[in-house]
Amino acid sequence: MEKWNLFLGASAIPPFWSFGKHQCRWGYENVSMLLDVVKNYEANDLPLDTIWSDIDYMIDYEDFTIDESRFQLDQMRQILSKYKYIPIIDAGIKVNDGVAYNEGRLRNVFVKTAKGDEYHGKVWPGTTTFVDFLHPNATQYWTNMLDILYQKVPFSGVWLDMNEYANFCDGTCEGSTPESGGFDYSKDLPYNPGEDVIESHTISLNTTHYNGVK
Amino acid sequence: MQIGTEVDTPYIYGLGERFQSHFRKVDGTWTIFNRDRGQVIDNGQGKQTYGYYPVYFARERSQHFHFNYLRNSNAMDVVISTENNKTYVEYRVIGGVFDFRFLLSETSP
Repeated sequence: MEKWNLFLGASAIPPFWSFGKHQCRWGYENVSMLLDVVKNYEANDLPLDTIWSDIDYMIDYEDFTIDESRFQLDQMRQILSKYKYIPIIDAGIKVNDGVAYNEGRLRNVFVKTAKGDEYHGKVWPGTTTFVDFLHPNATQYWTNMLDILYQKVPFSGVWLDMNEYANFCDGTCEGSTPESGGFDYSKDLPYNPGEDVIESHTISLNTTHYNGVK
Repeated sequence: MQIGTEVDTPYIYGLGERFQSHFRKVDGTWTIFNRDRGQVIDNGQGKQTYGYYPVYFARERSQHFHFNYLRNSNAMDVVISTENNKTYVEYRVIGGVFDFRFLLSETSP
């Protein structure tokens, strides 16, 4: 175990507060619900260190946005002055005219199809594209985008979700056939690991990453 | 690509982050490829993983431990089988190269 640890390198040390008491669930639709929760903790003399938000806080489930009509920033800061806050971020970036998508286009960080087009799948916000984890601009992209959200709500951590990459379509949304740019199982994959089709619930195996990595 | 060997012990642990009844990897197909889904018990039925860790550690008959790490990020099956009281491990990987690292350890892991 020591040798394995030396070989891999030691893991990052988690912050002390992350070992404390957390409260998280889907369905906290506005800031008054969040405030209710923390106030009930206080009223019942229960310890609480961190409160989390699921995708409810965003505008139409678009990453790095916060719906300020439901999550008023001054009230959010009331919570943040006493508790740590962790918002969710999904790996799928909504395809629209938003900052997250445009910034990604500008930096050219999205996963490509075999033909070189931008790959599209489907997650909570509808049609989404995915940041190529192998792209050298990807780290700067995440940093910049997280900073945009941080300027509005200074969170303490991020719940990075759906990053397998999770996709509601199996492979491609047009049906995973060679004609639609999908994978040709009979030709390209003589062996399928596991009992399920390998593209189940994830992006197409036919996508291309930075430097031509498949 | 495919490679396999006999190992000195049936006490094999690791091979991906998954839900299972026991820590020990019994005979079966241990698929390593991540997939987003809820808790699915996998006792070697070829379910996909929640976290990708292509490494096992084993306690040998000598009571010494060793690690076997395959540095590869492709989807793979690791098949464990027993025949005439001997344990076999076989890798079936759909891409990359076989880049194994073996770490030999003492009697405490």
